[in-house]
Amino acid sequence: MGSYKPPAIAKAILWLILNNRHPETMIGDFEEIYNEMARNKGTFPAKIWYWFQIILTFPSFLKNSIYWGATMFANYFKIALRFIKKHKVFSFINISGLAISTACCLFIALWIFDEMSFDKFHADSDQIYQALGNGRIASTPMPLAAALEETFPEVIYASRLEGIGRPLFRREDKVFSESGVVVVDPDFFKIFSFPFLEGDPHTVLDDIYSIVISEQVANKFFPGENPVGKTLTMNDELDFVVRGVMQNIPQNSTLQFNIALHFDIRIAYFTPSGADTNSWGWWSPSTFLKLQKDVSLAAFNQKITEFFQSKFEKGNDDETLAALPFTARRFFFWNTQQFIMIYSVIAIFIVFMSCINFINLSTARSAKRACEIGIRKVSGAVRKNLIFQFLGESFLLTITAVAIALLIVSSLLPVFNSLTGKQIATGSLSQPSILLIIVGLVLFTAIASGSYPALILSSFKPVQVLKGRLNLGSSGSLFRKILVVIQFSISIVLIIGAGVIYKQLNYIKTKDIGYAKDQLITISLKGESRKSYDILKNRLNSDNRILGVTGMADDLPNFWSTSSTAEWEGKDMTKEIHVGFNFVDYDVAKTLGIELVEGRDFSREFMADAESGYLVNEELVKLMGFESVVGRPFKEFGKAGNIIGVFKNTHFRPLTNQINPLYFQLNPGRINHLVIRVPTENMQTTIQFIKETWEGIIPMYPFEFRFVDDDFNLAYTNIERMSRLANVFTLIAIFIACLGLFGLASFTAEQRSKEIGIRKVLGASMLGIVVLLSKEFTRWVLIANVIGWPLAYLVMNRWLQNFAYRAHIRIEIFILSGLSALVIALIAVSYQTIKAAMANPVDSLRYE
Amino acid sequence: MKYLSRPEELVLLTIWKMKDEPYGVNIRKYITKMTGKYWSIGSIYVPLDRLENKGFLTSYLANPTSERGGKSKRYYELTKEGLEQLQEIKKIYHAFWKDLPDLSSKET
Repeated sequence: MGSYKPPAIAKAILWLILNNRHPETMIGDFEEIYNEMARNKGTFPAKIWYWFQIILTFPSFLKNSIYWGATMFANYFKIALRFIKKHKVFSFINISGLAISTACCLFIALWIFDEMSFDKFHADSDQIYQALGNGRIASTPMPLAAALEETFPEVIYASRLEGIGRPLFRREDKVFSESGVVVVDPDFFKIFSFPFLEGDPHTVLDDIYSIVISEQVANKFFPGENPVGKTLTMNDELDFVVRGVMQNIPQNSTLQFNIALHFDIRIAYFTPSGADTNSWGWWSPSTFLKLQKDVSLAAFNQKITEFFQSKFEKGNDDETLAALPFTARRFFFWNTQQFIMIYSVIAIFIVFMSCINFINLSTARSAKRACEIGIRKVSGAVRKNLIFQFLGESFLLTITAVAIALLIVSSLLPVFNSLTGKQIATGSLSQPSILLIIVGLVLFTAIASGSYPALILSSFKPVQVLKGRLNLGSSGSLFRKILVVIQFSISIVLIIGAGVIYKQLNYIKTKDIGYAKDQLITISLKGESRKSYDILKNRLNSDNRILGVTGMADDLPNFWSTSSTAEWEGKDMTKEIHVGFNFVDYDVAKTLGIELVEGRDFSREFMADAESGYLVNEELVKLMGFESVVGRPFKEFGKAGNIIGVFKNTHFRPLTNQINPLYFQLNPGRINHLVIRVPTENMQTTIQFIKETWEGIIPMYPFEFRFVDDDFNLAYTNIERMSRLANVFTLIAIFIACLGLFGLASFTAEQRSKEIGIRKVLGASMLGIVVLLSKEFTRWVLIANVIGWPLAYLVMNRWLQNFAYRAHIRIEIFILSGLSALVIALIAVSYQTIKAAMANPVDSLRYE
Repeated sequence: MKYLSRPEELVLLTIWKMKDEPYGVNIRKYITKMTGKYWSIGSIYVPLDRLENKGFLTSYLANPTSERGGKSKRYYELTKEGLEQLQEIKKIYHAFWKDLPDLSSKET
């Protein structure tokens, strides 16, 4: 007798839905009848019959499973809610821990996505590159863009870009000093697709006197009208016709500007006369390229470097050129990929740790639920049901926590934005990638944190549990201890890190940088006001409240300009040596308060100064290699002269940079900024006096001044942000670590309740028991210190390498951080230890 | 005594009466033949399980065959209590039916 096989799927379904005492027997019966039918009537009717049987079974199967499923679910839900309500502190700690870590994770995700979105909005963002001089700096030679476009077929478009400070714009009676003014080549808007509201981006800059303004600027000058075709006057000298209006540039663009002009404007009006604008030695603008699709970057870099080197007679292997993918610009210049890495690790760490804490707290509490589990098992629950129940509970907690986290995130988003300097909208929480992360977080957290307690709890033996004997054993306790140690190690690293960052910040802010930055104000001069410079200066100088007045081309606090064409005796002409410079006016040393180590300040008493005076800093003296340089010849920009004095090394660049060789050329004709030194006392009235003087001479120009130390501090906003973020992360890490410790303490106290009872009966004091329990935790925190200190030293030492001038990391920071971690840890466990010590020994020792 | 439902009664009676191997498929065939109605497999097993729970039946596994997909047959047997239950049912029914010789005559 041959045998026929029923459809395998149908059989499998049958297996799943049969709810019977003897499923195998029934399956066997089905198969036997199937065989008989197949033999008598053929396999097809037999199959139909077999399927039909399953379909018939379905309704009642569904009814049973859904009805009873729902009933049991309602029961689980009720019990879970009761448990949450009954153990308020425990639930609060658990949920808040999860919520805070989730919120933290979401914030980090938002931050990372925002960082990743930088510069991606341009249509062909993958074809845009920035040429980097020497392979790393943004400034490139003036003729580079045109030369590359001409020489290489891969280059479709090339454009230069350079900022030109804060010129003054006027339209009838509306006068504003605008920041974010750039000059670009006409191809610029063919490379980048900044969205335009008015005008054709491809032709807007065809004419040299065209101007492109942003929506925001348009609203300022032309409220309620179409600005296209209207005229804006710059510095009361040049008239520009508005040809295009851009949308305001989104925050996630690394190029930020409000006004764009033709690059030739810079050459015609912002260039020292006599300077060769086609010199390959003049490095100033940034250069952007649009390349063909599928250009091999390595090969292209090789080619342009060779081309580049051929432009310099003095062969120098350092002179390389590299194209940086534009979408990587944010990473490259803002160094954010380092932060993306660090923050991702922190986010993963925080989520991971809060899961561990959840596990610790739940297993610690499991003794309280032992009876429930026993009763459930006795009433027929199998392990599967219990696992389902506890996983479900952890889902419930996680979802609650994530809901709270979303509330936290959406309400704290403004704070977060101000902390990080971003403008993330609440709406970005609903972007698909964030939603995916939320779902992923819920699944991961619930399963990772719920499965261990679910397995442990469901494995309780009902007989033992109901008799009151519960032995969780020491399995995994080492694991838990290690986790707490890791948490505290990281917390200690973060505390030390926050401390070091704070110290460095403080060091920067309080370091004597060599000039009187907190007594200086600067005023930018444009158009008419530049012509009134001498009158202003004399008028101000005649008042005894003013300590000094001078002028300079590059504004304080940072002098970035360098040139490689300065000449002096014995200069190694075979090398390209870049030396910093600035054009200044008389009284520069006196006004800035820089100290002269040799020679004298520029002075009107020496007629020759005006023609040929140079002041140099000690660094330049070192570079020149002379014992004494005063009186030696020096030449630059066609002015041959002599060095008249040497000033002490002064920080005219942020402290992340070494002091570079620097000289000042006396050149009152190139002054762009008025620098005034005022005494710190009565500063307000002195400034009022300056304002009145200004308005007396040039009433048509707004009096806009800046404090040099404000600008000085501006350079460190990033570090300040980092410092604040480090503080926040430190707090969160400590909080989570404390949760972990709290959970562990309650677990230990629970485990050792008998021991404590016996000790108390034998006469141990309460204090003795608190000390006994705390001793263990102290040991872990000490171990965490041992791990954390060298780690923190390595990491922070690395970070400090970013600064040319750095604060010393002293041992006090370490000791203080370790101590604070210890104190916080002891406070966190004190609740549990004191409770355990105060417990009545009768409760823990009695048997029934 | 415990009252049985009608299907339970019929299944119990079938197992007592039938001469073939008393397992699911044969029980279903016999009961279908006797009643002339359709009995699904499930409607056989539910009474079987209940009777087994009440202790009127016992079961044991025997000879798996290939046309059963290698699954054993489960033979059912009346227990002492099962037999007593049948006798009890018969007694009660007899008491009721004794003085009702012809159902159609009462109508007309």
